[in-house]
Amino acid sequence: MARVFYEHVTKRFGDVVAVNDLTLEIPDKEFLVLVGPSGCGKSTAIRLLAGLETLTEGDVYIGDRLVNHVPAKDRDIAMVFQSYALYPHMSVVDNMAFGLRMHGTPRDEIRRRVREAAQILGIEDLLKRKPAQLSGGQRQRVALGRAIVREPAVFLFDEPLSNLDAKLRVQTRTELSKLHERLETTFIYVTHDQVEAMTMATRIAVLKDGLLQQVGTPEDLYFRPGNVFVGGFIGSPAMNFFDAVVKGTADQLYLDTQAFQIKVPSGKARALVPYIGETVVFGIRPEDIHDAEFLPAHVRAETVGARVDVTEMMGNEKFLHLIVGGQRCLARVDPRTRARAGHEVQLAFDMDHMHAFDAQSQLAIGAAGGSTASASR
Amino acid sequence: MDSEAAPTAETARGLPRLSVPHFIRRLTPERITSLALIVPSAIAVAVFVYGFIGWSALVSVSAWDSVTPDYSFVGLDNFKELFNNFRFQADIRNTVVFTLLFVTSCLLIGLFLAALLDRHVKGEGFFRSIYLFPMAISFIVTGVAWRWLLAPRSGVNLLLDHAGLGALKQDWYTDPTVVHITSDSRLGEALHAVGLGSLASPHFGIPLAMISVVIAATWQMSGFVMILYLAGLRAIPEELTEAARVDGASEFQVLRRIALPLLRPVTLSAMIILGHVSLKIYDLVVAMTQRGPGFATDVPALFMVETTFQGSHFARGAAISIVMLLSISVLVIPYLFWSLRREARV
Amino acid sequence: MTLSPTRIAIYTLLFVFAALYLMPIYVLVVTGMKSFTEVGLDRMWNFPSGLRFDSFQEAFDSLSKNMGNSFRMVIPATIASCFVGSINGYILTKWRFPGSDIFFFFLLFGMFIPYQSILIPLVQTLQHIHLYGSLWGLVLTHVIYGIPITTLIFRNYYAGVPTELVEAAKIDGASIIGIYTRILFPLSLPGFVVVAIWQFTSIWNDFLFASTVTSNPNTQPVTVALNNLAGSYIVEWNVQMAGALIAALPTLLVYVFLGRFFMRGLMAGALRG
Repeated sequence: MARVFYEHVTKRFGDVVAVNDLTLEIPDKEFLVLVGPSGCGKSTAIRLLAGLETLTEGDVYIGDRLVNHVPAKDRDIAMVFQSYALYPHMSVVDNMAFGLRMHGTPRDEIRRRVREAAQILGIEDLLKRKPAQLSGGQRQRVALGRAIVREPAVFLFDEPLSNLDAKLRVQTRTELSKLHERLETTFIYVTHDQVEAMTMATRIAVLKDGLLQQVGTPEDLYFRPGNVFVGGFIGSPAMNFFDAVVKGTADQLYLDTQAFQIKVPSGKARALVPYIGETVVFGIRPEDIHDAEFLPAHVRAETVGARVDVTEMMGNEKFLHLIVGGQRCLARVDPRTRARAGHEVQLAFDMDHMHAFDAQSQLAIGAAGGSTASASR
Repeated sequence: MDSEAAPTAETARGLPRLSVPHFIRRLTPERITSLALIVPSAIAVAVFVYGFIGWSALVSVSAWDSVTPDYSFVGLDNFKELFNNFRFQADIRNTVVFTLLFVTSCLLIGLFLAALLDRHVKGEGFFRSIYLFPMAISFIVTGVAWRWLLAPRSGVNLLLDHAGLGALKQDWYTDPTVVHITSDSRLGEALHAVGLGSLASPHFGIPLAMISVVIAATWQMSGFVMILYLAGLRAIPEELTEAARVDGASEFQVLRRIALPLLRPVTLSAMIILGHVSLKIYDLVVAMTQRGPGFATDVPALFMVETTFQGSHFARGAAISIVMLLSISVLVIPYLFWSLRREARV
Repeated sequence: MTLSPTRIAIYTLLFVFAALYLMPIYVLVVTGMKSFTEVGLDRMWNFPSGLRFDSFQEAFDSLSKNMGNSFRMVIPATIASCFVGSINGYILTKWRFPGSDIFFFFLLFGMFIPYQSILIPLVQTLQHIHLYGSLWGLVLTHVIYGIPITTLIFRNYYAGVPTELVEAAKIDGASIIGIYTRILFPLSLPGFVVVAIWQFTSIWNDFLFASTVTSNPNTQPVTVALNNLAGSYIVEWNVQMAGALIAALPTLLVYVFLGRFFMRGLMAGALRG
């Protein structure tokens, strides 16, 4: 059994709270990605699990075992570091075999595992070389190999792709996903890149300032962000936010930003009724703002006028950097758009995909699927 | 470092928790081993450095003046006597003069040579080795060599004669002259008028013989300073100097306004290392000049060894060593603070 | 490549200084090779009439026993110093404990003290443990007083070794000593070279401890013997100069052959601060 459980885990470094009351259950065989901006505590969280840091409060379980005071080598984990941490004076084979040797594994068992791992990763030809003779991508595979041979209960990854160039990163992402399917073991993966999170994870845990913001599948986080931070963090380019006052009646609800007024469809209106007369945070993703002239058929939209500041041609779409009543926002529109910098354009907001957040608590208003964690502030 | 809240009797999941005292849990086998590995050094330094210094301090305030120990307390009498002692006063003057001249010339020459070598010179390695090799030699050998080089009837004086520059000959380390403000000079009279007449005496002068020792010591240590500056110069990103050149600065200006400020940490480190070498200078003086004419090249270290091991004035010797220690501490302790603080911030 | 006036000036200056720096060695070598009749204050700069090594032979005869003493003392002291510094540097960088920094501060200060301030208690202590007057007493002395500088050099060196290596080894199951022997020690060669060269040179060239801890001319290292030789009125100077060269030879050879590694270490900041 290799599920992982953080229970009210807190880690303090002097006055700084790096991880704040984290409670998170990770079922066996899951690919969980811890994501967030730098300093959010994700690296600390994984290092607590690895046994490289000691807990200030709380408990950590691997399987059913409480591992708070179990030394790192006995926790049945393997870790891939950001800079790979390969032993420079040892060959690839020795690097991979080192951990097994330290644990007293019999020699032929070591040989078998190293051979298998090398096959899976395609590094059979590199076995005799030293790390200095390998490229970045090859070193990363060796680091993976060193982890695989341990046949651990949990694999830990600390930003393993950050040191690779962009192309290699994309390639390695798919390989990691395939590896996860093949090995059928729990992967806990730390990154600051939400694209990596979205593409590889079975579930994502978003952290900010040591606090868990939301845990859920990529779809959960994208369609039903639990607070403003998650809404703005997941999805690129980021969600547009406007402060808006809720006005009207239960049947005819609309939002009044300083720059424009926009009708709220009945499906969304119900949740906003308690907020009539109050300010909320209105969020809408760039991909849900269309050029009114090239509106996709199924979309029922509300139109808003805006001034175009800059256009960026992306090939399959155009990015419009817009100014609406003094506020900036971004729209991803059909590339055939006739919008030009310095001119006005009519936009269509797909309000079926709108988001609203409480201005005080920053939490999402309305039906939210997936599990949302504690308050964001 | 990190604080731990009091653990509950049961974990939140209802599993029983072992009751082991908090501090024992933090004593992992690794923590114990790491401390065990460092304890021998800690004890050795505690005893052989701090213990012994404490012992010397005790002796310095005792009356131990002969072969038989006498630990009776005499307060600061030994120190008072020392500062009234003509030889010790000369020592202080000599140390100040030596330190100022030695540190300055090493810094200047070291910087100069480093600036020369930093310019993609062919054979840089060759020159570097030549300037640095004196560091590998004992101060005794240096002393012996320079004693002959600066002997008045030989060495450099001879060369000067051969070159027709006989007028420049010096008495070098046999010269008892102490250049000072004389009481009957204009400056001397002015000082007397404001009550600072004591400044116009040999006590505040420059013993010419010391210059020979400075030359030998600089020969020995300037290469080291050069290496420090060379490393420092190489650490300056090319872009900075290039930008300055594009902006129109001459080479000298680049050195003065861009490089030098960036080299301040190097200069500081060099000053501290040189400073503490000069405060402790002993071997060189022993081999080269001994105390010199009228104590012109005497140094506290020499005084201490003679007075302790030849005169058996243990308390006085200890007092000298404590004065040396204090003067070095004034220099070194702030530097160590500054240096370790800087590291912590990085 | 045409030489601009600046380049010419630079090279000239470099050669002039090189000559200045080599001058004393020239005097030592040249005088050492003269016969007694040739040696004279007024003929110091003249070349010897022939290459004669008699003075070197004589100097060597006086100094050989002391050279042996120096070797027997310096080599164990250097080796022990290296390991002590290495372990200390390892613990202080990779296994820090509360108070590591303060401990290091007090350790470092020990490097700067005037050794005159500990001479007497040192002698007394060595007498207590029956090591006074022996070369092993000197070895112990040098190893102990070498702790600060060797720890400093290794600490700076190990600070440059990524901590992730140690963490990976921890997860792989190596013990604290295992991590040292299997991971750090194999990577320590540059550190050992710098420390070994520095300690060999300092200990070989030391005079104060040598003259204080050993009093019997038969057991004394060569620095003391040389000083006695050079201060004597009955020994001729060609012999004295030759003696100085012989005494300096081991450290000079170390410098000539290994100096480039030492310089590399210095320039990489081994002695920073």
